[in-house]
Amino acid sequence: MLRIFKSLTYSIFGLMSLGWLSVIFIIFMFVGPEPNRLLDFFENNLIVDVRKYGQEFIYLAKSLYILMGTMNIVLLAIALIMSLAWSALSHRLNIDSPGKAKIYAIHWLIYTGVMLAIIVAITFYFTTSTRYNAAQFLSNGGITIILFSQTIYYFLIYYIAVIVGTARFARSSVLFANKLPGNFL
Amino acid sequence: MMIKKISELFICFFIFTLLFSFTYLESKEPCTPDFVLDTSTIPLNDTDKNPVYVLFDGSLSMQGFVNPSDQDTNLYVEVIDDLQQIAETIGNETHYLRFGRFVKSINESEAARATDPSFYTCPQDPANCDNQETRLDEAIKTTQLNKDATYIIVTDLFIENKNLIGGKLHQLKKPLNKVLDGGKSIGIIGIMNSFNGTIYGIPISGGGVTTYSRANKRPFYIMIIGDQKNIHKIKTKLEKQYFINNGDEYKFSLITSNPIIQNLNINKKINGKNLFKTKNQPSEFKFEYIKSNLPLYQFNTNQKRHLKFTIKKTEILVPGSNGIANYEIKEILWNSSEVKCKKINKNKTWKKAKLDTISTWDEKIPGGLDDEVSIYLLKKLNVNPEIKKSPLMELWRGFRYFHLVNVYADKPGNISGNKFKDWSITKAQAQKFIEGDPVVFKTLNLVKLVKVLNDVANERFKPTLIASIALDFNLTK
Repeated sequence: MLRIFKSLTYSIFGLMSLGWLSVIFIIFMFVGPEPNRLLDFFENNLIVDVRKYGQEFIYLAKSLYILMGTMNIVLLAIALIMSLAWSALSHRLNIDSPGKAKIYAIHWLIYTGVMLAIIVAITFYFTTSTRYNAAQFLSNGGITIILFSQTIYYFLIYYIAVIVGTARFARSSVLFANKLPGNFL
Repeated sequence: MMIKKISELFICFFIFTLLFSFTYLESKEPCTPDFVLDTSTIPLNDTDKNPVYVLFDGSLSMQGFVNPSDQDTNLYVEVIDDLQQIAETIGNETHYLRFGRFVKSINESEAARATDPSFYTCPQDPANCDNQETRLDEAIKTTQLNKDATYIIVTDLFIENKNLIGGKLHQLKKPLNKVLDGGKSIGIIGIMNSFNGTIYGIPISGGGVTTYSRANKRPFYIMIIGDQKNIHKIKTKLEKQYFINNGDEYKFSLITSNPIIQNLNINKKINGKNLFKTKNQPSEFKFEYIKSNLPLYQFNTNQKRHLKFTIKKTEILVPGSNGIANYEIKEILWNSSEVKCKKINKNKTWKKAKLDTISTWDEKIPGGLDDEVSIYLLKKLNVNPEIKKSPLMELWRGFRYFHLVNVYADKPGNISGNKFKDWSITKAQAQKFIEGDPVVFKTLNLVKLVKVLNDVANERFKPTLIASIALDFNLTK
């Protein structure tokens, strides 16, 4: 049990290595739009041309910021839950002979695939459904940028957390995890 | 005790009513964006009576209409008699003139002879008799006598080519321009009539002219230049009396620089059904006139709705006129991220979209006069017209929109020329036509003359505001 807690602690540190960026981004989103580079980036790369309707983006950005903030909270929570769950479960894998851990690589790949699918589905839901009116300001190009960036980013968070959090005897099941020094954890 | 309770109850009721009134007033607060309404340019009808000038074509070719004939369709004598009476009812005084090469004033007793063969001959002085030519340009020139008068010209409209080119054509167009500029119109009533006489001045191939006497039917024309109201009065009276069951023997065309009968806003002819049929009404639908007779449609709608505004042509087009070939839609779209009036007014959230024409128009029968004009509002917002999705899909949900639309008649149609096509021959066709020994004779250069008149009218045409509407809607999911 102690090892599981150790794993979870390492996993949380792994999450924090990149996750702090997400937390800061979420805080920015809920503070609201200010005329800065972030707002310019949104206006120039993510949204449709609102000027043809006589609007200025800064007045419409609040709802879009809330959408992005909410979406990132959900994605961060998913990355957190999935990585911690794997870290905890890796201690329960039945690895009773040398080389058996590699068999569990299939399980890890399926698990990771499911996690990626969940991230893509959540991003799609927030950016394209009619649940959030602000989603209508996003351009097709903007949705693509958000989809790719969020998927890659949250996968990286998850991956780092999983590498450092997986039980030592099960590291062979996680891609490149066995490259960690032998005395780690 | 009882009185005290009643007093308390009354005070409670008073306070409730007062508070409710304020709430109601707030919800009724207007919140339209700032705009200036386009104004109608349709001239108002002049109801005063003015003089009437009746001009008779005194050329010899007209004599055949009054000579006794075996045919039972001799309307000329009856129509001319009636016309003199009608002229007296629509005007305050009637003047009679006779024209050929020149225009000459005649008295009433001489005018009464227009239904007699002797009117067209000069037994005393045949050499100097002005009955050899029909100079329509001279007749039309008389319209400069009084710009408010009505002119009725009775003629066979048998115009030689030389009178429709160069200086003579210019002489014809110049007074017409003035007439049409002054808001007057030209009505042409064509009546097929029995004929027993000789038609002169028929051009033949190789030059020169010939005559023809074997026709027993040919049309004569009543050209009316004046107010549309008077033209229609004359037309209606003649139609009722002679042509209810005899449509083939009668043709009418109105040539006008202003084929629009009315502005629908001024006469409040627009209602809720112009935009929504009863079954198709959206939620929270309300229709009212605001500002200077501007019809306002207020409603909530989802993004699936198509907005089609229809106008009945019978309500806007002058009957018998050329109609309209093109409509122009001038429009402004505002949007607001706030939907409540209080917030819209406080934060001034109406934003004018930088869009040009975003609506289109269509009609089932191009140029048809009994049809409808359909204005497809916002249709051009849909960038891919092949996909028949609602253009509202291109607007943002959760916003409030205000759409001001002005519909203009932009270009006149060209129906009149075709109406007279089967009664007309050209100079090139004349020789072959008389070789066919026709009994029903056609009119030389009739279509050409109508085209000249139409061209003059179209040159004087100014875009006319037909209708203005405003849509105030919340776009929901």
